[in-house]
Amino acid sequence: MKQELMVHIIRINRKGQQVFFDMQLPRDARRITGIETGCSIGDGVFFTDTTIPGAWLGIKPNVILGSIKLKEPDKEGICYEQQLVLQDNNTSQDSYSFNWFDETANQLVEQYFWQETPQTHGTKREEDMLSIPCNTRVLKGFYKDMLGEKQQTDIRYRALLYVWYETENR
Amino acid sequence: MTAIIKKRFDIHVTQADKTWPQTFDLDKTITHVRGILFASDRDDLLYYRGSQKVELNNQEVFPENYQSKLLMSGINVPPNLRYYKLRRVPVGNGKLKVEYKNTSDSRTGFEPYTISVYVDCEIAEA
Repeated sequence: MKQELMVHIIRINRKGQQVFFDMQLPRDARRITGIETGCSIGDGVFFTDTTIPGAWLGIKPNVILGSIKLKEPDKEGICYEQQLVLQDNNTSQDSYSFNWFDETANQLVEQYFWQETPQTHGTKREEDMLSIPCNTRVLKGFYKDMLGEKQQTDIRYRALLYVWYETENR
Repeated sequence: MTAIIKKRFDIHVTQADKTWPQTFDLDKTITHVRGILFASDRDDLLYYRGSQKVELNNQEVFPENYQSKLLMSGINVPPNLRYYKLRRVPVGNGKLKVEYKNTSDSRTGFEPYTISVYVDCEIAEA
């Protein structure tokens, strides 16, 4: 069995936009083995800081762009559902080695020269593992924008869906 | 007997919103590729702006628009787990082709940067 990947791009331009889409699977696809998601933000888009104030161990909410649902045409129910997260805002939660406790201010102080970011402190990304036989060549999908709807603003971005599947050895 | 080595190849990105195709030749002694990893001197630009298509021996490993962030590993990942595992792919003609694309993103401004492609390889010892 060989593992391959196909990419589907969903372009969002309006707040609350809903997109129904079909993904045509290759003829030699035998089984869907995993799903990954990603996003790409257009120019001129800004996000408000959602930090919870007054909590020195504050958990920062992640920004949710939208939700993806997938369905097999001949089966009832949803076979996969995931929220599209902009990025992990809590990579610094367990990283006390770069911070110190200011006894005068009685609070945790972050080092100013190396802030924890997803690209430096993020964990390895793994796909959501699935096992879906490819009985039909079509995978139906639905994406709904949530962030634009919440902020009542047209946010332009691309939601990316990566589908890993197995094929027979050629 | 086989040995494990790491190879590094660089791509210099000097303009925004452009694709940078490059083909690298793996050493003749390399028999299989076990893993691949992307890094950069500007992690933030690679993370938010980068995507690439990767081909090994004319066979597609990652298609176009596969984001670089999915092939990056932060310092919280144990060193032995940082590479994306490729199931011992034979190198064939030894050509590793990377088409790296830099796409504008509102979270970062563009500056020239270098991305590094690390390849985890098996070599046949004489």
